[in-house]
Amino acid sequence: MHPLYITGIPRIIIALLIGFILGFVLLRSKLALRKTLVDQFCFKDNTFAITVLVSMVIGVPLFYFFAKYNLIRLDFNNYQFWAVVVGAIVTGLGVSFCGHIPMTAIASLGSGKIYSLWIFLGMLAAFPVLKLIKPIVNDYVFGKKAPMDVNVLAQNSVFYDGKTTMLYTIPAVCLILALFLRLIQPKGK
Amino acid sequence: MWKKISGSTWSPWFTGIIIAFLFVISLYLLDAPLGTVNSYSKLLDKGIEACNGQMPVFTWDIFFLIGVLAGAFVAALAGKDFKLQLFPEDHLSKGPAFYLTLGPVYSFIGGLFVMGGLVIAGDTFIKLWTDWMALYMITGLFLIIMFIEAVVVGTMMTIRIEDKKDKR
Repeated sequence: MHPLYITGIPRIIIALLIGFILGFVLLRSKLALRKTLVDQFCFKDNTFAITVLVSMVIGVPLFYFFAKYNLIRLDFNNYQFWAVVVGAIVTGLGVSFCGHIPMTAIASLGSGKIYSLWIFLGMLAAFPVLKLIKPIVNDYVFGKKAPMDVNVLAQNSVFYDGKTTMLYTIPAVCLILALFLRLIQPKGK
Repeated sequence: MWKKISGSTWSPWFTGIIIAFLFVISLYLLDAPLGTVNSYSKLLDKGIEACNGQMPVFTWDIFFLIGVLAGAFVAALAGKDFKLQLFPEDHLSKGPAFYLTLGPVYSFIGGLFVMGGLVIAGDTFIKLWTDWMALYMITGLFLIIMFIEAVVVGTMMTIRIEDKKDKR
């Protein structure tokens, strides 16, 4: 068995359909609202964290079995340790300023929140800005020696060598965390 | 049934399950992850092409973004939540001096930082999220650092706002 790899017009229709479902889900679950993410970072509303954790609980075994039977091909990016750390710091700062990630910004725009256009334009402006500062980023981030080769670590992870401890541990930890966050969630949320 | 689906707020438990299935099904059908940095980069390129008078040819990943926009629009209409809003509520509460000047600048810079950080890290949030489901631990590290930092900065900003409210 192998992934379907649909091409041509059907690929466009499926991408449109999956996007449509995702947009619908993001709005109905209120993940597309700025307030949800802003409240999450003050622990006033744990919807976002619970969603990510539950998706992990279901997603980890699902990905494992789909990959085991060759239904999906896991094609990881060539991540670099320091790039990921610096990227996370910059993204965290941005999220606390605007209260959106790229996908929720688009969904928010679709629901009539015109102010998300500023966020979306900022996201698009990131590409030329990064082109301008590329030499600095290359020198200070990508050029820095990483403490470990994360890509080699990934290739030797549970999905490749059959060690399955993390396969149970991570969903279990995520489930416990999600239940805990639900427990401390203020009433009425 | 449609009224129940479109009119209610979905629980994060149900949403998490749907998102996990959606990610894995998209990988099976398209053999490519959703929401990559390429989609946004291509969108910008096609926009520049259109501005130059050329007819842009959209690819499947741009149609995915259009789908998200359309899905959110339909969900908002169906749930009677659709409301044109020029400024976020928390910006409005700070007065016109903020929401007309600094507010949009904050939003723009926030968006720039979010996408800039994601490009430096390697890909968009959804791709990192998908990779974490495949137990690629470095993406988990990304999400943890991002979350902790946003909690710290977010809490500091909230404390500052509440301090100002107390002084008034």
